[in-house]
Amino acid sequence: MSTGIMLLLALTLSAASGIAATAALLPRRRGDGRLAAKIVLGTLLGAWISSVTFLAVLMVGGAALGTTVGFDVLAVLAAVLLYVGTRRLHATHPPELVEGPPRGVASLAWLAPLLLVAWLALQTTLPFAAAHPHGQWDAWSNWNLKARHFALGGDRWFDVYDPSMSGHWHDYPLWLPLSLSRMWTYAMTTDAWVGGVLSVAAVVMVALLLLTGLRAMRGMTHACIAVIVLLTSESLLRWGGSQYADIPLSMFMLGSLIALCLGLSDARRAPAWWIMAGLLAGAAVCTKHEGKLFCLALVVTAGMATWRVAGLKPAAKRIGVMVLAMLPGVGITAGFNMLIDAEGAQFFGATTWSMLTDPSRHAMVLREIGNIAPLVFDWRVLVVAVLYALAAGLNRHRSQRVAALMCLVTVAMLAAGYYATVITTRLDLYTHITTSADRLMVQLWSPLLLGVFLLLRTPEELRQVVHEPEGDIEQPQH
Amino acid sequence: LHASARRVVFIVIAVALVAVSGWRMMAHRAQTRAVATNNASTDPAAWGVQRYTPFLQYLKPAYGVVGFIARPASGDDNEARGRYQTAAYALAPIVLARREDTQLLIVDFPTNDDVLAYASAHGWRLVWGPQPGLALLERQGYNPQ
Repeated sequence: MSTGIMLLLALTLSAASGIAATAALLPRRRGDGRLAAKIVLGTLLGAWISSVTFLAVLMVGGAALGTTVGFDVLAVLAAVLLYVGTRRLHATHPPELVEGPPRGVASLAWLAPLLLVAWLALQTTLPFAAAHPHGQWDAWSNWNLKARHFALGGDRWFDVYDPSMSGHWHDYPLWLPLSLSRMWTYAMTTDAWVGGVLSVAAVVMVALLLLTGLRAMRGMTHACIAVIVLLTSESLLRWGGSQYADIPLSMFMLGSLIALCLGLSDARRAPAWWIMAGLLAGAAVCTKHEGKLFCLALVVTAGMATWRVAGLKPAAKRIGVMVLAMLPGVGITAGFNMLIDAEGAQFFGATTWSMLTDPSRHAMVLREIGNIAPLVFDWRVLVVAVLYALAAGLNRHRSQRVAALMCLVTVAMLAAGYYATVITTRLDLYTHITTSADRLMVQLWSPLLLGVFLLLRTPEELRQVVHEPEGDIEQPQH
Repeated sequence: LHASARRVVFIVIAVALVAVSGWRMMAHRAQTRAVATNNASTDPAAWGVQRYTPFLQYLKPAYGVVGFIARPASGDDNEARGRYQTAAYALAPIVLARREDTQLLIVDFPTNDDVLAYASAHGWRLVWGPQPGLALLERQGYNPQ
């Protein structure tokens, strides 16, 4: 069987388990315009589920094709059974009218420029991926080397964490090596190009998440324009072809935020959306260290947003549900850190205060951020985007404005956390900032665009000058 | 009229946004391709083939499967990166060392003693070197033909 067919099987089984689990959580409702978003979120959830099942495969005896396919089929069957079980439950509820996104033939016209820009984006990122078949520096050292051990190491796959290999950052989380190793196991080869496919697929997923998520909430025009702006980031396309974990991390963070944003205007299914958000945030923890900070920020911002929209009691319940859903990812990462005896990040030490209060360190970091930022946010695009925002005005849907603020505050909290981490780094400050600043900014680029485009009014809504919607939210419970 | 005018302005700016984005994408594409071409000079496949082909021609008939271990001496320079990547091109070190059909390990840049110590502890014998840049390790008990 050819490598391509086997990889297709790997992706199909992964997506099937996630989509079936999503359908169980969030059954389809005609006319709500959320089907595409649910399919993409389900595919993302599948990427998380399949990495967990592959970890189980490794733990029962090492990577083997038969066991891997067997476990994946079991995961799909479990998700389908869950769907069948919950379908009866959902059928007892009366049908609910849900307002769909703005529609119009004109909005479909935006697909043409989007496809053109997407084609240019692929033309940019694919040569970069092809020039680095093993990924760039950290990619092959910290992620792919471990993936290769997982795929080839048999029952001694964990030997890669031998102390003699400690130069390869042992404490980096597992999602990326597990996913790549799973694909190699299906492909029955450890050819380098498979890693490139996974890396570029993460960029495509980020674009699809933003497109379908914004389309579900704000319509096609806004969604297309947001994705076009997203893809103008040179750093996104470069790191997208580098096989680093930053774009996959961004993918999980964006998916989690989109689930919450959709949940804020869907009172009946809110707990299910919160479960989805928690699962994806847990996957972010399993992808990169920054995922931990994302979970913390999300608990605060999602809690505040739900309190504002639905009241204190529902907010407490939903945050509880979300934290429970984060536990698989957090638990796997914590257990792994215990196994390898990771030291953990030391945020507070004897010199922390002196670093924080050293103006020269702040000056260096700000100067380098200024130098690097144009690679992430093209200023020419940003100028026109600001004009666009001024012409559009603010979104009149209250729950969506709250959702937008939730995204923007989450991004601000993450940015503040990243800044503090860099300022207090134990490594050489200049090396640290110049090698990580654009990657950190790229992580926040898609969540930032989600927040901004949620906050703006769409061209379709400008027609509604008299009867603008007052809000679409639950009544707060006091 | 005011709303219509505003809508026209909005659409015009949106179209401008798409146009500027497309223009910048074209520029990025050219720039990124140039970077990719430059970086391709340190492509691990090129490194590996260039560096080890003479050794392989000599050694393969005697040893069968030959593996590489590569780690950088230090620093962040391009040469070290290129050498470092050779390990990925070749095979993962510990897995390789475990494979029974691998009889010879070429250790590139063996200035990291821990690699040699690890190999030694796992049944590999130093047969040549370590010299700056190279060491050869043979599986203990193996008799080359």
